[in-house]
Amino acid sequence: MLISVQYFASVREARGSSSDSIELPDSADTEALLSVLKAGPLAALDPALFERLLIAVNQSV
Amino acid sequence: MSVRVQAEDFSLQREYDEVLAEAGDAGAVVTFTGLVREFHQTEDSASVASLTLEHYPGMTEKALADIEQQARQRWPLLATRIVHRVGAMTAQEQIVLVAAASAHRHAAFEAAQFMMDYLKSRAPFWKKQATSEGENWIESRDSDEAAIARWQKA
Repeated sequence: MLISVQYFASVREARGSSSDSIELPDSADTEALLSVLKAGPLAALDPALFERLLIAVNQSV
Repeated sequence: MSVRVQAEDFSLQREYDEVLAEAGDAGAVVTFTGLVREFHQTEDSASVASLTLEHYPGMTEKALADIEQQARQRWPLLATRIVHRVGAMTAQEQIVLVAAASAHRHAAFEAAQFMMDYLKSRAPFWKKQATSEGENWIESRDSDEAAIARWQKA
């Protein structure tokens, strides 16, 4: 499945973009998505920032 | 609509009048207006030149509507309103309005405080302040979570 990831605030600024499209297996969950993001588009982010992330899936936290 | 997110300023009088008209036979209308402070964080000695609020369009409005609905379930309210601004603001500008109307004052006071407490920690807004020392995103505060805990115990 193709996941559209939207970034806000400090994450958007650190990423330098407001969104990414990530291809994941249909069975993937939020943790799987985070792993892909940490290894890819958000690799340059301060690791401490991940501890404070607010994550919403389909607008639900 | 009783929940709005907007860039433009709001008129407290107009919002009050509309809540009052919707409330009918209210015995109490409580309104709270939040303002941008010049010194947002006490540990920061630099004064705030501007505060910029960002939100998640769609999700933020849903979160505010949910908070309003929770308040209506907890207290016998006749009308409610939440107006929150986004975008760039300077010190002393109005940033948020919460209003609650009820037959009796206790319900109106408590509902207004409940909505404001939940709004502060549950609604997806991000604040960035600009000072003479640069810009930074404002972290959520433990005191905001403590305010929520009080309602969860009640």
